[in-house]
Amino acid sequence: MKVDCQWFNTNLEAYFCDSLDAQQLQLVADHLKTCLSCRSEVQAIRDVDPMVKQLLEYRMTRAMAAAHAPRRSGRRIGFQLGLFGTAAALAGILVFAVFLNPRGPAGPVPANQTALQDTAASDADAKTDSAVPTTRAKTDVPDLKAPEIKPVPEPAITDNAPAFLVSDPAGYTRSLEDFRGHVLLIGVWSADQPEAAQSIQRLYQAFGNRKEVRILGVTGRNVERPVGMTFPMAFNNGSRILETRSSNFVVVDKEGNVQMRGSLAGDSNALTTKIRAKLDELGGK
Amino acid sequence: MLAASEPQFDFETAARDCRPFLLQIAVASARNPVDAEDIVQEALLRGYRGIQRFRGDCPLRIWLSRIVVRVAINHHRSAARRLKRWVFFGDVEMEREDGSHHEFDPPDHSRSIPRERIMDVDRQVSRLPAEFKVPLLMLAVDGMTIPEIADILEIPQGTVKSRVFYARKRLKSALENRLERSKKQ
Repeated sequence: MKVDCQWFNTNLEAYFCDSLDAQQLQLVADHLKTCLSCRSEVQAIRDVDPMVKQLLEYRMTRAMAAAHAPRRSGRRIGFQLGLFGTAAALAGILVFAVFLNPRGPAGPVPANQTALQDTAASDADAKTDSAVPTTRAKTDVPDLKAPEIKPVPEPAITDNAPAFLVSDPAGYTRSLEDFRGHVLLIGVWSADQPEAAQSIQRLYQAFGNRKEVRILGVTGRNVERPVGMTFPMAFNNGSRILETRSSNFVVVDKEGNVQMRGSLAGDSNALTTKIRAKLDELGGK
Repeated sequence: MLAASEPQFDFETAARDCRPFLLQIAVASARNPVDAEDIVQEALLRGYRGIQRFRGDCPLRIWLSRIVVRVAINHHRSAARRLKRWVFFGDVEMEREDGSHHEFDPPDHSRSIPRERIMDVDRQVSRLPAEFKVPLLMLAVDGMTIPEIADILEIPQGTVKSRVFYARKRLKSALENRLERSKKQ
């Protein structure tokens, strides 16, 4: 194998990610001794680290300054603005509720207005008229109770949804492309299927230490990690998860093609044996 | 390793010990370092409330760091933060404890650092996607290792290395381009 500038540029990431073997590293070291251009490139990338270190120190000073700053008058302004904003919002809700009323903004008839009506018959009418708006006024009071907080609904999964798009617990979006080069085992589970999560956990314990295998337990957005489960979790981002239903699994090869499907339910030993054979076949060492 | 089930477990003491580390993680994760203190406070509160869920399979500071990262993500999205930022712009006066006022003048502890250069790096780092920026800044935290970052962000170590590499490369290119533009001018 010959290491030249083109080879080195192609494998620059592998060099910085410690993915080269001992022989390749030796060849790279020999190449760097003689090639000024590649040496400069490596040095320029390494020079970024001290700058980032200084940046973190600078940001730390800003954070500490903000934490130890004297009490700001702006906070009082903020508090007053907050109160004002709340009051304005309540007033807006009231006005909105009154104007949206299909029976119009009529309120109770004032007492002096009924006194102006002169005949006995109109007195009786006035009593009836005044009675109706009184009850209406009671029902017109908007409900000022805080709205019930509902969990974020799961996005609807349509035929046009992406085949595989999930978020990891840190919030980063992951697609099938992120796992290219690895055999991917995806188990789909939900909060009402603890046995599916346990199956994924058993598979993670069996195959989690294989370098070329990635295991993901995919579930809905509002599901919390069950106690005792350590497998990598991901939350479905409205994708079809490669047409995999809950409590099922799918094995994807290094090129992103589905190679195996099945159910997570049933005999766990048989399931593990079946998946082990498929992973061995796909090169998931 | 601390575990919640241990009878001597004292969350307050452990949190106090972890606090400087968590502040650095918050600074690395937050878009604005000014929010770091609030993020740590909220993360510690959530950690205290959810300490029963701490299984002891990793150091407490790593467990708390995961909470810090999640709080930092949510903090940026929250409307409360935006309101506070809006008020902060108008906050040109500061009030001393005795009630007197003086103009806003933040303490400058960074005189030893070439400020313009740091500001430039800050701008370029801020433009990086969060998935590249956070591991890069976390690696600058004292004593932080790739396995720890992978543990906190719950992503494989190879992914951390790859993201750090691309962050360095993008930052290098951005700073070089800027240097060339300034030379031409």
